[in-house]
Amino acid sequence: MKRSATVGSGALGMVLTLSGALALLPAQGVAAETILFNESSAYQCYRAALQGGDGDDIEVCTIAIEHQPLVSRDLAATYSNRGLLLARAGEIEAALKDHEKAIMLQPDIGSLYINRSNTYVRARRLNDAMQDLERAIAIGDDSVAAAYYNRALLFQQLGDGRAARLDAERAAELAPETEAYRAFAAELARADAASD
Amino acid sequence: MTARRRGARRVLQWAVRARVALAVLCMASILSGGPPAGAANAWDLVHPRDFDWRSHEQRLELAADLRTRLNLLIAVVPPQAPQALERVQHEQAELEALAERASPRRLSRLYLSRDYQHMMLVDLLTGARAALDCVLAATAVEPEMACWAQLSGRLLQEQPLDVALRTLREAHVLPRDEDMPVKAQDPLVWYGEYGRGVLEQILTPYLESVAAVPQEER
Repeated sequence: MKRSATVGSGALGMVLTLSGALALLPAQGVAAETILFNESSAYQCYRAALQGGDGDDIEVCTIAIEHQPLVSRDLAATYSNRGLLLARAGEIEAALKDHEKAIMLQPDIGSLYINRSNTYVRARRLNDAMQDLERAIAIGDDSVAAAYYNRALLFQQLGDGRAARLDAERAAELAPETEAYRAFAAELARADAASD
Repeated sequence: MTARRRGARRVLQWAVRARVALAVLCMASILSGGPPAGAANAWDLVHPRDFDWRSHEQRLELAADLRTRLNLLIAVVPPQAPQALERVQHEQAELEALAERASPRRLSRLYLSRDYQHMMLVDLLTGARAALDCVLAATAVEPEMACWAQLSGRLLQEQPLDVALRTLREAHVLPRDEDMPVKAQDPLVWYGEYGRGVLEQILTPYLESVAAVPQEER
């Protein structure tokens, strides 16, 4: 089963999957540069991360990182997106290196921690994953709803339906337009009621 | 090369081939859990051969084999220090009392702690064994099936089992799979399979058979 929903718009678009991955859209350019930007490698890398791309799409991210002039924020986003693709391809160590580079470049972007936590979950490093989600929540930027949602998923995995429900409800409050959060919160509320 | 050397080389090649064949046979036996011919065993839950869920004798054989496997796994889990267990239970009770006011950070620290996962693993495994004891002691089919349902529920807790095994292995509390007795290896793979097998090979056909009997005949 895979849920997905767009949880952001504008410069920093994001996509959320059940496993909690967020693809980051490099936020550069003005209207006049949009066409050029949309054909860029960084954008293609973002699209690949967004659309469930895998190992075959890693090259385009590498081209963006190595050859495309990117501002620090966009470079961080592209490293993070390549990290997602590498993790999907099973290259966890390389993925974590990319996530670490991204966070080093921009330590104040919550979604970079969410993406790294996603890779930690794949590596079953749940303590590290939880810590990254807590950081993302503490940063409290426009990815905070996704951080709550991801933590809800993790609490559910750990067998605490109540903590999961509370986080899912918080995510749904923060981003009421996101169907996935509402549906998950409702599902957990039903399970909670049934267990009473 | 002399004829003598060629002969010696051929003998050596045969010996190597024989050893390889023997190793393959051993591996096949390990993978299948080395079922004794005729007796039902845990493998029947994964790949049923002549298993007949209607046979009480076969169900008991299968339960006994599962119990042996479970006991081998339980034997490699060291007992938890009473103080550690008490600490975990105390923290758990405090968080439970706080209910929705419990801090998520404190909750996650508890859930991901080695002591909590140790307690969870022991609880999961001993609960599964109790369900098997219940199967083995049942004197009628209805209560026996309720015990199988309890067992299936336990065995299908794959995520909690995964987290517990990984946490305890990282903390070197549990040995690696390859260092455990063969029948205790890969619990993460097999327990879920056994749990689904109990559902598919025993509980579902039983419930279907019950449902097929008209109400007045029961």
